[in-house]
Amino acid sequence: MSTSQHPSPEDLTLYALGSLAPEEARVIRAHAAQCEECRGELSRLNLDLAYLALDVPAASPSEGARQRFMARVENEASMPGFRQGAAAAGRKLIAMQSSRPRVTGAETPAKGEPAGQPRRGGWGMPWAVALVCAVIAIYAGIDNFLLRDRLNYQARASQRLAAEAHRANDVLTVLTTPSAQHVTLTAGASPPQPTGRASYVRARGQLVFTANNLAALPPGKIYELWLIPVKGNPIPAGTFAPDAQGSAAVVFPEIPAGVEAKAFGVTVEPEGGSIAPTSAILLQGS
Amino acid sequence: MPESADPHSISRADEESLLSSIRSAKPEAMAAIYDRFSSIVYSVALRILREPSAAEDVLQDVFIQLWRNPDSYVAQRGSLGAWLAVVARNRSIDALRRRRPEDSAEDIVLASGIDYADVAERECMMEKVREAMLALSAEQRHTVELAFFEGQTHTEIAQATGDPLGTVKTRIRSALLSLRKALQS
Repeated sequence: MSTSQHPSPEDLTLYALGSLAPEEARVIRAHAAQCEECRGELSRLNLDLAYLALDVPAASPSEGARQRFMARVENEASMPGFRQGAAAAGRKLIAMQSSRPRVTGAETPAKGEPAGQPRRGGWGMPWAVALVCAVIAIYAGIDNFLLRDRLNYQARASQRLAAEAHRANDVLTVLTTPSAQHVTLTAGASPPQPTGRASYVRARGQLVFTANNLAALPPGKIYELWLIPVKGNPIPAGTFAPDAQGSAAVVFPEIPAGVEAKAFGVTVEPEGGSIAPTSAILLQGS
Repeated sequence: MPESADPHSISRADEESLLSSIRSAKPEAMAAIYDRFSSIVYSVALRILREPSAAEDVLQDVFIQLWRNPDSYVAQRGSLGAWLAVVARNRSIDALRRRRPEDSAEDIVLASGIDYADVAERECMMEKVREAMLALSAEQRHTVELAFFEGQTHTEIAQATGDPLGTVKTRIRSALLSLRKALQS
């Protein structure tokens, strides 16, 4: 498709959704810039998207988010030259450029000076240069401030992510470290039974499994975890051996993302694991 | 997004007046706009990103861009809230896909339609949108959700669903037209 041809309605729709490859999007953007009809349809498509955006659960940002936002706004507003200053500086710069002295017949260049160049010397030029420098400095200051603010914001986001990662790591450590004490609470006095707990995030294909009170296995055998999908055969989700206390964990085994799980199960398999269960299910939960 | 009480309700005229104050770098005007529309922007971002901290980043980004460049919003076309909702959706998809924004906010122009500032109108439209979405075929609804909320390209959707590319394109287009028709009726 060239930029002069109307894109198909389907491609225009995908463009509005941001679903086209960058090169395809560039062609449509260039066409729309010249085509009122396509711009009209894009504005209607964007309105369709605004309607779709209504179909989301209501949520409110925290008060802290408001405080952080308003702190940034007030910080910028208090900057000398923010907005009005930048606009005024811009106008001043343009005015200065357009009011550069012209060489007229009355101001014939001095002998030896090239024609068409403003005369050097006098009081006007140094002041003009100083003023231009001041304007550039204001621009640089504002730019610098905005960049610094952006950096600070990124640094805060980075710190928050690091803190979250640290906490997630701590949780994993507690769940999986051999030195952790795993206690299973039961109602009766009967000997503790093997138990397992699977936590599964389907969209990401992430699974964490912990088990307690597992019996020791004979040599050459290992426990294997299975994700039992709604449709299809059980999917291997990692092998594990219990420690001396009968505890074990499987963290983020390699399983495909997006599989809807009907249940999880544990079997005993030959060391190395199997691609399909070869023995009866010992633990199962749905 | 049901909203029973709306202490921050503002009219379109108020919107224009507040934007004018934002152009004059008045933080209190920005606070009023934020109070009115932050839940819309945050709800959209959270639905797409599913992480409160990531949704807050988009929230901050969308409003700070409006603060720094209020002229990016063209008041003659569409309401400010609807425009912010689309900008929030697009920025959230950019964040989800870890890509640089492909369009600038100025490129996003909306036809006149819903007035997001009018809570009663918005709630009425919300009901209509939900009904219209339920009236779509399961395939149409799923395809639109993958494209709008997951930011999947038509190629990715075709791969995931096993449908031909042309079918996916047509399905998205016809779903949006059905939605448009239902809301205009």
